[in-house]
Amino acid sequence: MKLTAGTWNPDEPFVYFLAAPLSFIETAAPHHASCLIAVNELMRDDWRDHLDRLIDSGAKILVDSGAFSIAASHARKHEIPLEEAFKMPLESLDGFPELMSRYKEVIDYCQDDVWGTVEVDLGGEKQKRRTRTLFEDKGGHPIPVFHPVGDSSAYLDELLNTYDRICVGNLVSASRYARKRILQTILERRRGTPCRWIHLLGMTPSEVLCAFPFESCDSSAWLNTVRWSGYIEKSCLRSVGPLPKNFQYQLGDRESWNLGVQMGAIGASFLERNLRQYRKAVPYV
Amino acid sequence: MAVPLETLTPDPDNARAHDERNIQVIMESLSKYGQQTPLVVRGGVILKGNATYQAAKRLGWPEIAAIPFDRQAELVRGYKLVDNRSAELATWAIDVLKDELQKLTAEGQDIGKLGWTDAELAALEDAVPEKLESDATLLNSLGFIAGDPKTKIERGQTTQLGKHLLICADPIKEVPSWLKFLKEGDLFCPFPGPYILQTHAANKARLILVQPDPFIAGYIVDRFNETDGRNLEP
Repeated sequence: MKLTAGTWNPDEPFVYFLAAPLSFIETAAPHHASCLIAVNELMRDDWRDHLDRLIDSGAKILVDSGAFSIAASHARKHEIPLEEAFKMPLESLDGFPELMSRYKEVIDYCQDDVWGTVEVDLGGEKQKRRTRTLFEDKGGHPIPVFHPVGDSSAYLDELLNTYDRICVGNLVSASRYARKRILQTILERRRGTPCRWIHLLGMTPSEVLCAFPFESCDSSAWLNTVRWSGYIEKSCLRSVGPLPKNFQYQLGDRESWNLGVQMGAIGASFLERNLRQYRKAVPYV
Repeated sequence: MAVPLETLTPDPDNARAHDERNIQVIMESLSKYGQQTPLVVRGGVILKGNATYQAAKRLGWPEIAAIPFDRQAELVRGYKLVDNRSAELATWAIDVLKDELQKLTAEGQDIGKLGWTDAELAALEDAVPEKLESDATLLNSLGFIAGDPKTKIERGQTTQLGKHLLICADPIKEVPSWLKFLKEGDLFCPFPGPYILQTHAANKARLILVQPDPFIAGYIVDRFNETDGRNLEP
């Protein structure tokens, strides 16, 4: 079995990682210190300082390669479908060489100090294997990503039987109905494999995660407090309803906006805590 | 007027194309809401509602509501185009749309079946609000201090919060602890989040909150006290 690098503990309970730009993460960190940071957020010169501060504060950091973001911005700029951008030769994506260079630097700098590092999940199965091997040959141990929409089930089995943890990506492109079937299938295929942890990329904790006990997920939905929808409270991870408008930040007021971000972080922290409580009360067999 | 589907013919000169996604959304709509707008037909040929016809056919409907086009034949071509074009010229009032989607989400409805993809909904979320009518008075009243809640709650404790009841117990394993309080019209909320009493739901019904974690229960009480029960829309 191949071990992925990082400070993770396979016995820890469910973790919800806050996905967001770095400035949001830093505002949220005192309230909820598990975050997903994409490498494209670390392109500035002082990236080490930001990471060091978060690591020193005890934050759980999942580093994402930022490949999705690069492909998406390439697709937008050249007005091509996102799926087409994903299939392109990696080197031809705008900004890809710079991103990869920084990704390699981040891995070398802190892959053992962060919670984990997500692999560069672009291209098909062959391309992903090739890229991962390239990093593994140079001492990197990123977490491989399975894309249910596109990758084969044989590839899923290969990852589950080879790695101590994996990520599942691009679930948003599956319909809500298909998503549940996919999640159930992954859990069933995982039985008996050495894989101890599955992280769902871009998935918000909801009642679905009461039924399907994946170990962690990330999303930017916690930032709804400073988006149009505002904070939506949950019971048993199911939406109960929104809060009145005066719980939303005041447009143009930075201080109020900061409070909104903090409120989102606190909500995320309680969401995580509530799911942990639920799983304790209803253990998965 | 109900017309057998087999008696209708799709318009061979229909200038509108309907892809699979379009038909799927109409199928969902017909299944859930029924047909609320009749087709317009002339001599059995569908002038308006060609996609609705396709969706109904795939759903296996034997008949469909249709009304005849009651104007002169030379007006047919123009009518078909202006009907589609006039709908196309409408735009979304983004704030209202977001508000409506938010309400549907809060009601637990699957907004994914209304015709927006997840990516489109996400883009909508990021859209800059045209107006944000908040002076943040309630947001400012919350105490955002990381740490233990001010209110200490113990397992087994029951706390009255206005008309609502908070029971610190396991909702699954300690059913008798909360079941006796539940009355008709109450909203049962197991594992509630910290702002549950600030939601609109708390205005509408008495909430029976069952939270096994004293830490979260303490926060629910803190938030209630900080906002002094002021959870009504200003």
